[in-house]
Amino acid sequence: MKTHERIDGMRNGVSRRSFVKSVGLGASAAAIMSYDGPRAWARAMSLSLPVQERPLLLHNNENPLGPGTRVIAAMNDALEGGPRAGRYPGGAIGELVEAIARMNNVPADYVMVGNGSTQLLRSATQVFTSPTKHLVTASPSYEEVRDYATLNGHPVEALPLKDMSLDLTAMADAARGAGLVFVNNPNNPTATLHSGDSIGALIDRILSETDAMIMVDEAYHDYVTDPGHETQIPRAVKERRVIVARTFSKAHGMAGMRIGWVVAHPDTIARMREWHYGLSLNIPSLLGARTSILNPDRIAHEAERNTAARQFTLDWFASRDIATTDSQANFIFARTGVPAGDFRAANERHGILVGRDFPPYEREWSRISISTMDDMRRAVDVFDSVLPVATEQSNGRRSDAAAA
Amino acid sequence: MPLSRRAFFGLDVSSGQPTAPLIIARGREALAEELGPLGSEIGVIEPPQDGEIRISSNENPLGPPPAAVEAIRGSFGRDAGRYPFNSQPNMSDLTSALAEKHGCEPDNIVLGAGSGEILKNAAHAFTNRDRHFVTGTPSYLQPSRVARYLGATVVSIPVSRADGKLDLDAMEAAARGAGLIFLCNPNNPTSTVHTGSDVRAFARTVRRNSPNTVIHFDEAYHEYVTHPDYEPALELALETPKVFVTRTFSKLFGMAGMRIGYGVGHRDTIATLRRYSLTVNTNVPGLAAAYAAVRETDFVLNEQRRNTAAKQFTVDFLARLGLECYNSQTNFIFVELGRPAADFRAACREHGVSVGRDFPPMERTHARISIGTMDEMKRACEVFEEVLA
Repeated sequence: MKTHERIDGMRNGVSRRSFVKSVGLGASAAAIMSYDGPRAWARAMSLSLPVQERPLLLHNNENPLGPGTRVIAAMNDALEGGPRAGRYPGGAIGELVEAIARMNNVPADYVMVGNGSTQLLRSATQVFTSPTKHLVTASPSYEEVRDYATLNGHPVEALPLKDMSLDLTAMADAARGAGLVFVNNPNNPTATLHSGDSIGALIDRILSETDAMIMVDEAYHDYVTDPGHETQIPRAVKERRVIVARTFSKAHGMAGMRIGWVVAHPDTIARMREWHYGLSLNIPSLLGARTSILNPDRIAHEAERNTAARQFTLDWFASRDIATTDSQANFIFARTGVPAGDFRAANERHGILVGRDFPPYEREWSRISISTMDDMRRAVDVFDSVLPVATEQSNGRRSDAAAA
Repeated sequence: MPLSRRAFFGLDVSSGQPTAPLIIARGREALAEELGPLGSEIGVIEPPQDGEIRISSNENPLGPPPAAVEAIRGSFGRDAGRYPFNSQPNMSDLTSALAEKHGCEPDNIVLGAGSGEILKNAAHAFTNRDRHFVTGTPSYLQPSRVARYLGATVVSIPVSRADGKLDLDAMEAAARGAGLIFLCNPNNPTSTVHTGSDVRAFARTVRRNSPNTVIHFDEAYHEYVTHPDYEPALELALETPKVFVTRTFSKLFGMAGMRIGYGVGHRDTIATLRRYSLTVNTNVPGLAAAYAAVRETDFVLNEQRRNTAAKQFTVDFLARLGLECYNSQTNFIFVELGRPAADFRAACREHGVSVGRDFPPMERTHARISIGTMDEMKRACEVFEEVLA
């Protein structure tokens, strides 16, 4: 399958050996970090990470500040009052579900939690696609559903972007006969957003013309500043074929805690539960996530912080005449004009890790996660120094100064 | 003590701090639903209430080693916001530590969100409509459910009523053409163990008669075994294609709430299992805790000793009541009551003691009781005596 080949190609794009050789600071640390994410950790398996050596991580769209003090206190409380860590997660799951439901004004039986939103994306893909019911997604977009459908031998239609945004018309066209349409809004890696009206119209079309389920992944919802944005949660309450996915991994700063959630009709949730492995959540995360969602002020502050650092970074690229998309997330997609691999390698020599290849844009575009303002000031200085270098490399002109 | 939703929302929401009664109240209503079919696998769905003796879910009543608790606390501030491949320790650190512990390569290890995730992934990877699934009954149920969902035939071989042990001969015979054979050793819920030579002979026979069948030894209770003839299947798994073992930090290591387990086996089998793993299956505090716990050899010995003593007390007490248990090699016992487990459970519950759920096809006669602390078991035994009188 075409999609699958492309993913494999991407994974194999960089050998561990070449990374280890190329890196000056804590070689093993950087070798592990440099792999963008989930699927790649296994390849760095034999390397152990020395404590304290951590490059600036601008490659996985994490919240650099992590969770707030209240959340940490709640997670510590999970360890108090008896050996709760020794107990199965139990009631803490229901308690988190209640809090999510309350804060989003939906009934509790419309909420389901998972090990990051990724587990929920997988469960939906498992139950709603099949060898005869394909998955519709975009390319590039968040790969979880595509990889998982492919693993199951379920066909995938990954529609190319149009003007760096999801091609909603093409996706609706492809939805005929599909089992599931996956809509990442804002879209990772392009950071672009479709308005509530546009997504609403897409949903209308798919509901009226097809039998497909629609999953809107709003992982970056909290970081959106575009006034035209609307969550599709109300739609998921009304329509049993609409699922909205959210996560605690981004603005809530809990990527390491592994909690995501969906809003969907109870019948839809019941179908996902037929497959879903419910015991994937840990006790501190459940208590921390509950505290986090009950404290929306902190998320608002985090969004403000991100917006400022993001704007600073976008402005810097504009000052260098480097195009970026209209980022509505905690990362940006920039047309550096050089291969992402070269840009990545050059930054890595300065202790900064940026995003991996996102074909078919990997020859000119890079994804850069937004960290703190201080981090981004440091980062743009490095970008300033490496971009000409990367350009020379990509032009085939080696520079000794560049390698220094 | 059901609380209305209004009362739930009315309390302490501003601080966002959970309060124990609320957790308990809500938990009872919601968890079974949240876990779906797995709800019944867990049995009890809320943290123990004040005074409750929870001996239903085969948990370590004392929780993790102190070093693991410290590691969990330490992980929150620095790394909670980082994915587990960016944290310190990260997934590969734990993998390497486990490989070192078991004398194998990292390629021989797969991590899971508890071993349960790996059980599920194995059924997903190795069974389908044409490749059936073989297990014992009663045994750990979850992989059967996954296989059934995928349209695979599930062949469940009853345990021996005489000694509670899995019927290895019948399982071998049923393995021909199977995709996966699941052998829980020690077996949950019957608590019995098979000897090293039995396990090796079993694997040899299955490999000879059905070379494409994957053999899964679930050793969740490994660390609690005291039987002198028991041997873990680790070496067997490392040297034999299509054989793997699962282990967990949920049982003796007291980290059921942290969701970390792992599989060990031939690198090809492990590579397949990894393809089915949740993309980011482990959590940062769980990794830190497990990484700390791997080195806690004294903890293992002490907890095993503590469990054995509390178990022996319970078994002896029940024997004085004329009740027999199978030879338990775990942190639970399976006792022949001669009456339905449900009645016993309800009666115990009245006295603040939670015991295990029904385990068909033996639920009319047998009950599973997890081993708590010695104090808990003394109090529980008083309750048993009263309700069984």
